[in-house]
Amino acid sequence: MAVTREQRKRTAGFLFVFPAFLFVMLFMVFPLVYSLCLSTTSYNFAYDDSPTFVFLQNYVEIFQDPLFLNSIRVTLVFVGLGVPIGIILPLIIALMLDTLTRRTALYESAIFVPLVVPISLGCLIFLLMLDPTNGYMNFFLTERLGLSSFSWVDKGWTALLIMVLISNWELGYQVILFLTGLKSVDRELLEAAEIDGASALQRVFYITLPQIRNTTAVVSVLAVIRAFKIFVHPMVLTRGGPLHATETIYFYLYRTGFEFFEMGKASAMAYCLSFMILLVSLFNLKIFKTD
Amino acid sequence: MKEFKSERVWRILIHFILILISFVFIFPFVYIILTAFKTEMDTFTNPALLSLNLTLENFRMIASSGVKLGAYYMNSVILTAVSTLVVVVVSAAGGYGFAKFQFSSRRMMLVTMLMTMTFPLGALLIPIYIMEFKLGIADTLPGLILPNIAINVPFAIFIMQAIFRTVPDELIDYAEIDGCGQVRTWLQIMLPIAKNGLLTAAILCFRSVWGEYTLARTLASSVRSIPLSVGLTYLKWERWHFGIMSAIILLAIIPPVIIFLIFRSYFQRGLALGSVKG
Repeated sequence: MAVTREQRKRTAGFLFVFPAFLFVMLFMVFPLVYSLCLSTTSYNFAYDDSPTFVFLQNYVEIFQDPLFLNSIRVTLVFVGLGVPIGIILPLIIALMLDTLTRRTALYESAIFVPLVVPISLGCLIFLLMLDPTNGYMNFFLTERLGLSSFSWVDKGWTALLIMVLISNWELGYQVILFLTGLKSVDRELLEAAEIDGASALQRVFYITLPQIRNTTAVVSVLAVIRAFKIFVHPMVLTRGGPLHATETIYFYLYRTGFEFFEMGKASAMAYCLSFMILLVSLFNLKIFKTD
Repeated sequence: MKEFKSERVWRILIHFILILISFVFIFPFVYIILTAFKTEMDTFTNPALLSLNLTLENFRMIASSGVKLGAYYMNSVILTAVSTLVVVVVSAAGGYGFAKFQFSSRRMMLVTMLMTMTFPLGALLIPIYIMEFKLGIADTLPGLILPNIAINVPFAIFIMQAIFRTVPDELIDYAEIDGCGQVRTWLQIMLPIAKNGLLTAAILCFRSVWGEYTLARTLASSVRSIPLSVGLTYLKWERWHFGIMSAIILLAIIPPVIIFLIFRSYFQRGLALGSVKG
């Protein structure tokens, strides 16, 4: 039986895709399924030989764990503080860059270059700068401005606030997305409005913003997802302290898994986190999507 | 004439604000560059930015003292180079397959890939850790390289697929008429056309793997596999010398910063493309 050209092409297509698919199956899909199974078991990696099936018990127990509830609260505060900053500030920066006709490369380089710095190393730089005894910030506050020095890690709320600010060092990503969206805005309409005497602010609110609605939707979803997944910052900056004030869900699930070795519980937390992210993303899309 | 004047004031104001913002974003770089060349005495007694005693002492200390920087650096280089290479090859093939061929499992495979992008890495850590522990590849470079490839393949496929879609189908047909096999068509005709896409995928992958922290923090536990992004965060508990720390961080961020400065437009376009994945 002769193999037709069509069949040969089908096999070729499959073979081109297969290596990529294999990697994703082995190191993403399989682990995700495995994790879902683990989340219904009690499995202490340090003591237990094998997982014991407990059905939904983990999901019930984690919601009775005050530290897990605390981590949800911390994450929500982090999202509530960080996301508005992570949307509004990049939007303003992008609008300003968009009005300039030239010489934007220097500004863009400056705002985007933090994106290539590993987040953990970025955090280290900020730790050096914010160090209470030898850091630059306190020197600046006390010697240059004559204010009193402060230790940002002493209080929960300052630690969380600083974390929000540091995490927005990488807001260049959102600026890039907004800049791309702004390219599609109708220039003629803007010019017509200008001739009709609309102020710059009016033009932004009545013409530009409605036209980049979809971009805003994408940016807000990404900003929310990123805020929910915050992990490296508490790991490197605060280790969750002071007194669990910066212990996010992701951070707490990491501790549950790799400090207490409760693999079943940690998997359940991971699935709760995934579910929350999914829910918030859908909600966000619903608000912004026009079509 | 009045109109014109207010326009100019507005423009100058925008430049002024942008310069201020740029300065805030650049400041951490300025800080560690200046601190890296300070003497140890100065970092303690003179926290001010500028000091007159510039020195290479910190870099000499790194070379001579027992800091495991060399090992971390090697690990980062190998990890990033191998992962990026494999991701680019595998996704150039996969993107081509998805864009230009019809086969029965195509849809299922594509949807699976896109779905995995929505899960947080946190959901993968525990199972991958247990898997690698049982396979005996935890705390080895291959044990880090494999999952790093997997998490970067979906977005790279996404980019490559978008590029190959713009290539006309006739080109493949002509090549076939000329007697080119499928692999030869891909290698000699398609890849050169998709050059820009390959570069974009490579740059984004390089950035992602060089900066990857979470997997490495979980899977790597000794000098034989810990990369810079994790290794340096351990140093802070050993010795808190500002000058040396700054010098080490500076050395660790130089490669990605240089690549960014050379390929900024590719980088920007790639990240803009990535937004579609949301």
